[in-house]
Amino acid sequence: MHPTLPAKERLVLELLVAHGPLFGLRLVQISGGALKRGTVYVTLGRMERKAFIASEPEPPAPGAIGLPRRIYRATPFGERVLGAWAALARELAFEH
Amino acid sequence: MRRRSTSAWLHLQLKRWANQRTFEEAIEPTIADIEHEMRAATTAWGRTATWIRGCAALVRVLFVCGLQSNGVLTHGAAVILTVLVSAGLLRWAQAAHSDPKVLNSARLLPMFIAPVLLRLVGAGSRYWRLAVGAFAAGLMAHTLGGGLGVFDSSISVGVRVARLAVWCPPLALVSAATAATMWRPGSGRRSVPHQLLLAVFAGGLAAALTFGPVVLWPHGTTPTEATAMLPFYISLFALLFSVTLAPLMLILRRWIRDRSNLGFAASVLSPTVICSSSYLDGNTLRECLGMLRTDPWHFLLSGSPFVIGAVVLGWTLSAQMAGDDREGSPEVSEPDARGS
Repeated sequence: MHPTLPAKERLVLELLVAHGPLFGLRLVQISGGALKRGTVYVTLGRMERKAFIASEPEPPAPGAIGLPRRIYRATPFGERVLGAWAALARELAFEH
Repeated sequence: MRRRSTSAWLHLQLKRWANQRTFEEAIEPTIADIEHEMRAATTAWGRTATWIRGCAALVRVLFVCGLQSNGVLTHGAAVILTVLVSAGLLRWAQAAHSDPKVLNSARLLPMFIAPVLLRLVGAGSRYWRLAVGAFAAGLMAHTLGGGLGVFDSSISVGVRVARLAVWCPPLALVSAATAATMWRPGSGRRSVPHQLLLAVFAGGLAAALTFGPVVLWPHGTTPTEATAMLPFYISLFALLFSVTLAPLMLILRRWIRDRSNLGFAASVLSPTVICSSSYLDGNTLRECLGMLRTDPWHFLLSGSPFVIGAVVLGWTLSAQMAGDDREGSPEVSEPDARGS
């Protein structure tokens, strides 16, 4: 399967590379409205299946109740895809 | 506390209905976010606003995931689409004061469309989902289309409830039948009642499709009107076949196993349906025979849809079409039949 990088996935990767591991809701907050909380997890799930990102449940706080949130981080493969994409974009802009 | 228990309930319900991947990837994190924000909110208003915002996000997640999978959400969307289209048609048929056959067709339409759509989106092997979907579509379309008078304030509540109660059994019956026509058993083998229902429906469909060009169009009905009357005629002819020809064919299939021969036998017996149809039009048996004597070509031409329908019924009812050769052949052992 050839890796593809739609705009939203690129944005997620850029945010994760720039800010480090983040919660889904935090990604929505710092995306400036580009990511919506109703669709962010669908995008994150798709990216996880492509191995661009990985996630793990947050460490349980003492006495915490409720479901643990998931923390997402970019994988080395995701970072390489982002780098390749950026290089390609630069190359195409230079030729243009 | 109430919010936590509500989100726990949501978690439990959605875990039951959504597929596992969708649940783990998108639904569970959204519920976790709602719970986290609820804990962080300091005022009652803040908690309420957070809850509403979180639920809106959850609805959007469910909608997006529903579009991407063949889950219950897609099935729900198919039913809602059917309801909206059918309710619109029902309103139009009532407002246009069209032929009662068109109005009855509009009433039957949701129960016909819903199982087809549900099968298209992957619910074909789940009979109850097809039947409940068809019934829900029928009931909602009738309610929204004004057919049940549920929102008619000039009628007392008791009458409205009674009217609803009267309408539910026939709607359920039609839904159960149309769902069975679209149902694909997991084993691939159809039971005799299921096959009988399919045969009757197939016969009714074939007869109704032929009835338009052969009988209705020459009598001034436009093709559009004839098409709009299709659900009514399919049901009427299926009912006719089920009380006249189907019991006879059910007996004959014990001896005639070949589908072509059974189709031929059905065509020979088709005058029973023609006579019963003519009887419904107000003619007596003597008058039917009189018509056959005085104008045999016209009688046979107008009866041809029933002959075609009978052949289709016989063909569909044959043991060969059941995909099961065990019936009537006790020498075939159980493991052999499964193996074949």
